[in-house]
Amino acid sequence: MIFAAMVTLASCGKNDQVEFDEAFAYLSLEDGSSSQNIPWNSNGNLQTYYVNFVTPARKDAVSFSYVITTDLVEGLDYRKIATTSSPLTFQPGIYQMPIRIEWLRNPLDASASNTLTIELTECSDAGVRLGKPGPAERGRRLVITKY
Amino acid sequence: MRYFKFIAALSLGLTFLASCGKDDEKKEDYVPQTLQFISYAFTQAGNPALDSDYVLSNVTNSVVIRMPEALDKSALVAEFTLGTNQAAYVGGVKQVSGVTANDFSTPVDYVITDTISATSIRVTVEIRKILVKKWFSVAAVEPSALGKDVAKVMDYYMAVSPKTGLPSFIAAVSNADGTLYGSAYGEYADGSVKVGTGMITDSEGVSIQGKYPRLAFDADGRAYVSYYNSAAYKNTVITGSGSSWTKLGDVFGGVRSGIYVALGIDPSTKYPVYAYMANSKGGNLGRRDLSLNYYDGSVWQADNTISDFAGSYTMCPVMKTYGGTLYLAGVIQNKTKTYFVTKYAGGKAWQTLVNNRPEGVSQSAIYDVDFAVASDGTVYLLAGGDEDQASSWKMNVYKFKEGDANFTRVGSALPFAASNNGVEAIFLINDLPAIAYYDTGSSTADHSLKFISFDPETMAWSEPASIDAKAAGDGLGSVYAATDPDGNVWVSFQDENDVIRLYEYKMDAD
Repeated sequence: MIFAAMVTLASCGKNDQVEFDEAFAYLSLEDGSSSQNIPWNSNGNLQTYYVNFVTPARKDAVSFSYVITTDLVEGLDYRKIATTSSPLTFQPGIYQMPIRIEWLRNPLDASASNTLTIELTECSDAGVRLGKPGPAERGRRLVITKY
Repeated sequence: MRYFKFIAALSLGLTFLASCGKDDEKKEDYVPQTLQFISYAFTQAGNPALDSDYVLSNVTNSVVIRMPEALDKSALVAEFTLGTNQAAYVGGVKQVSGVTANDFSTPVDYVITDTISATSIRVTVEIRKILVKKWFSVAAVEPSALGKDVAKVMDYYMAVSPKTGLPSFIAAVSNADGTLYGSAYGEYADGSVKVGTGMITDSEGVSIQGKYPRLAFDADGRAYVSYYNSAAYKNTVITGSGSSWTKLGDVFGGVRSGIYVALGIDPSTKYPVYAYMANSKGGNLGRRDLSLNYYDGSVWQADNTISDFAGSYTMCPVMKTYGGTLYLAGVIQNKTKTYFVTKYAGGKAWQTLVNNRPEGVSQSAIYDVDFAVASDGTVYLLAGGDEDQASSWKMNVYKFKEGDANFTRVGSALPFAASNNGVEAIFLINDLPAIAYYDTGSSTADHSLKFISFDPETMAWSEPASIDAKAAGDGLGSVYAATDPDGNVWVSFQDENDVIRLYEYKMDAD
């Protein structure tokens, strides 16, 4: 009887709904996609990528750091826009901030991957998850490919 | 004593607790002002390179401010006002009105924060170029693209379809040694010129060989092409598109013709009207009479005259349709030595608007004649005049409106020599005259296709601007201009290599 009661008590917890209120941030284009292809010959092509912050209302500012890793050449293949450089500060009430990159016309190196990856690396609030919940951390990286 | 200390401490504590509650009440009572730029401006005082002040108010959303394209936007200082307890940041840097410079060559994202309520908005300020009308080179058609063996373009004519708003041209072409002649028809569509394959032929399969081709569209966009066969002294009009053309009636005309021809459309019947100057006397035509020929749906009513000009040497005819009315302009070279403009009244009747010589002009000149008609009926005639210096001929624009006694010159003489090479064309911008012309300049390197327009504020012609600086060389190819239903202007030019080039004057885009 005691054993039955213990089993019952253990199974009760498994049916409880798990509340998820963890704040997280993820990268996307305006349409929500997480990857993009850019023609190599488009020049002066200004693109905007967004850091989206999903969180309950906050009273303090939060900043997110990101890095760009690429085998493309800055100044030749693309140009970072200084006003959206890392870290990005989210004032209270702001839930989306842009990262802007201007794409430049430059022939591709056939031996390179010709991709540029933006990755969230740190949040000033260590409790904020980088990427969407889940082991895959979707949205922590955004990949742009020149073709 | 302890008792009093206790009471004092208790009182202090109660007072403290009461004031804490009042602070909370104050925060709860706090109503933040609307998050916005109450005012936002770029001023000349703060940015000396600006041509004027740019001032906005109550900016709560992203905005686009248009400034001259050439302006250096890399370090502009904005002046702004915010509500109480509000601050603005860019890239985490607090902004100071009238002090902080930002690079506006790309959009700048402001975050406006209320420091008490901890609320914020994001406002993106973007500076874009002022959109103006510009010339766009849209096509360059090599002679070889006009058909098999085609090496030369001897003559061509361009017109814009009122139905599609797009240009087409008819070209008289030949092979390299001039032993094979024909015609080619090009239609601009979907960003390129489509050419009927080979040298076009008529419905009987005969290669269309003729000189002085002309092209006109009826209101439904049906194309009509005219040409003159000098061997037979006959004129032909065909209708169709691409490589498929049908002859209208039979060939017509009984006397030698010359280079002075014009093709128009009767607005009511939508049938073609063809004019040519008779080089010799014949039938009811006197020498150098203007022969008017009307297609009635079956046959050509050929070799009629306009009573006001019959018996005069009538040259340089040009026919165009404006506002649903067919106009004809030209030169009376003898007798009155005047310029005329007449409009078609139907039934082979014409109403002469003006047949006069501009004041100070010694005689009409057989230079290029062209015209355009504004929406109020004002006619702008491009023609030669020597009013500034006797026998020194310049091209001028003369205007005439019904009720006027005579032409009035628009501004001063145009900045290029009078010619009869067909290297200039008139069109309208906002109902005011403008000219596209091939400037032969002082040296070959200066040759280029240009345009000028009339500035109503200065009452003078603008400085010449380039349409295509690449159109250089000794070639004196024809220039044509036509306006589409949207008010965009098309200009064509045949360069020194017989390449037919098309340009569109339209609003620029971001």
